Amino acid sequence: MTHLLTRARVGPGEADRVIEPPAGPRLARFEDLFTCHHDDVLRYFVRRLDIRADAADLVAETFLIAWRRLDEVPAGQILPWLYGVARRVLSNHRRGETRRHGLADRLRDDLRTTPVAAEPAAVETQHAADVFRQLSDPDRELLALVAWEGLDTTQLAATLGCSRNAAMVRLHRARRRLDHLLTQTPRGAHS
Amino acid sequence: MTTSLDLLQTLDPTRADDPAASVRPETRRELLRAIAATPLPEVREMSDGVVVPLRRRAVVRRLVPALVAAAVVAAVSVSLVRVPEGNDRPAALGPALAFATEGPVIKVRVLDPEADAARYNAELKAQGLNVTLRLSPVSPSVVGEAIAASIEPGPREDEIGFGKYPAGCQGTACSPEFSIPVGYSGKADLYIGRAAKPGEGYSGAGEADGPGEALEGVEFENQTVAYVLRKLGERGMTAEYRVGEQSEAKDTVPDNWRVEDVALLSAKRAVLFVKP
Repeated sequence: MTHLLTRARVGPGEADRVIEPPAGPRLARFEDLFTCHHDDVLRYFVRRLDIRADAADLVAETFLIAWRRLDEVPAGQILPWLYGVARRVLSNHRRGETRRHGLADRLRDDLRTTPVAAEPAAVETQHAADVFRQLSDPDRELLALVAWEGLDTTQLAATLGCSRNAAMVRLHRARRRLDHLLTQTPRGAHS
Repeated sequence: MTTSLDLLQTLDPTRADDPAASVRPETRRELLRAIAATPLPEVREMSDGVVVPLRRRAVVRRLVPALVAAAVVAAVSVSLVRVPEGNDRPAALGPALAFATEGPVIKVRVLDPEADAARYNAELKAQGLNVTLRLSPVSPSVVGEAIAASIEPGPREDEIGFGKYPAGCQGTACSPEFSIPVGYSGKADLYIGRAAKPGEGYSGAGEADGPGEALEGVEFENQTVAYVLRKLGERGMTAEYRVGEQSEAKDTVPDNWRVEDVALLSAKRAVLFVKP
């Protein structure tokens, strides 16, 4: 595999220098994990935050935890495991417990680019958005993990830390509540 | 046919504008390098695996009792009942909510489940609570439960709780009550279930075989459509169908298909989740 780290810039203005990669196999594993899943984890946070740039610290925190706990990452369920960590990082962030990471500075800057202006939503989409906001937080998260992150029930179970059966039932109930609200909420009724 | 999950996909905030596209390759490389250069040391981690600044946690813990004590004092002074002035209709109808401070929480009882949200909200505001309430019709077993809630972090926000009264009541005989921790100063928007009026559709429903529900005491899982339809018919109910994993809507399905689950839409109508 390609080692991206043999030459890395340390910071703006500093000359390139060779970094000795620590513990080869561990780094290689982490590099794989990071390279394959960075964008998925970034999207996870951006979908759930009002301010895009806020995702930078949370992405850094998630991968920092993955780096420290690499031995615990289950080989077949890496991304669901990362989403599980990301959920806790996000919940800490919402409680106001976020560390500002110097190492996320560049990412923060990159994310500050102006988002593409959203096109006006179709009536049906607006209705779905209104209904989605009415769901409880756990239902919304469950449905988002399936609709946005595209998880299947096995991955959902790994992310939520529950059995596949429990995940299936929870998803089923959440979908049911969503369907209810979609049919019961008059369009444009929700403020 | 568009399923509800397809609809949700259209709400994905990254769908038309992928944030990954604005991240430069060197940004990814630098973050990877910086993280992998972090020593693997004696960093204290919380049991949930999330590294948090320990000092800050300790401070938060120490502060909480003081905040609660201050809040109790504040709450005593706001628990005096304010009588609306003037001769407007809400005043003529009497209060829609009753407030009582019970130890660490303010218990709020819904006296008039048919009041409009503006009346509730005016009364909550008059008590100094930054809480809005909207009641929605639900099936009997979940009266008083939260259908949805948006709760801002604040002191003891986890203790915002939902219930019903009078004690030991069942189904449509119950009215919602909820409790807000004394000193909670965040904003909470609560959607709570009230008993549905005859013919009214449910905004939320409990298990179809739950206490007081249409199929209480009926084993419906894996039974035939014909059997469950008969049981529903005995209670004056009709059904529509959702088929398979994608929950495709159908008006009719073969009688011998199996029922996986039942969702209640109203006291008169149910959805059967079925498979061939």
